[in-house]
Amino acid sequence: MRVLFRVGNVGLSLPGDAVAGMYEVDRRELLQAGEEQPCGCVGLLDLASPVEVFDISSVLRIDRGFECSITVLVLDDAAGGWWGIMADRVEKIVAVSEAETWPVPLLWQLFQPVPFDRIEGFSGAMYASCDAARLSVLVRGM
Amino acid sequence: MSNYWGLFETVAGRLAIPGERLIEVVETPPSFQLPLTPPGCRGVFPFRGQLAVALDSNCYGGKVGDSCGNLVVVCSSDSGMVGLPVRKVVRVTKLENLKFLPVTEGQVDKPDGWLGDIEFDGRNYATIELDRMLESLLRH
Repeated sequence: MRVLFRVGNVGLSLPGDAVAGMYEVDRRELLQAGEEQPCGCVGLLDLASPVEVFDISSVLRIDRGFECSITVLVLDDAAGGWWGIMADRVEKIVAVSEAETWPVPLLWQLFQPVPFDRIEGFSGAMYASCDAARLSVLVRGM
Repeated sequence: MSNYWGLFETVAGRLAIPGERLIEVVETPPSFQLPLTPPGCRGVFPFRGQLAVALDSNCYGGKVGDSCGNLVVVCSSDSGMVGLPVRKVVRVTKLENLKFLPVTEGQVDKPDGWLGDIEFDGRNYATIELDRMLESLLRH
């Protein structure tokens, strides 16, 4: 399965098994961790143990369009914990077999390392197919 | 030197593209934004089963945010297919109908990849070497 979501005008997708949960929240209600909050972290989602939520729009150079109401996608991290990314909205959860796929255009690959390995087309729209581990590295390297 | 050239009007002036680079001129297709879009690119669009990169007119002298025209010239490049926005196709014509005006000293403010001008019907068209222009995007 693929989770299709949108940050600003840009479509992104993640494998369903990388997404541990999705939560619609008011971003103003995210907890703040003060000085201990890592760079790029917009707050903590109050689950059984607090989950750091990151804004990926700046590292992916996406014009952000976040309203107060956001969806947090909670992802597994390499250490067995969770981390979260902020999306404007989740559009669909679809079967991989529905996708048309293309390689990432060479101009993107020449420009810099990218955290997506292909472009997927679903219902006439395109989504950059992201790798959660590479996204995590990119976000935490800010 | 290419044996034939495509001559176009764009929002940023007149442009000549070597014939062997031309694939097709199409009405501007909807393009899709991707993350980490390189400077000078607007996004991608599907074309003949592949993805072509939609370039912005600021690649060749336009301003960011310019309306780009209603046509796209799909061209081949070393970096894959790219779509250049144009307003009008003037002509695709043989070299013998054109007068090539090489670069002279003191000509400034020309786009990267500019090789000089071609004169046709009393008008000058900037000749663009696509791969050099695209390389310059990566440097910015």
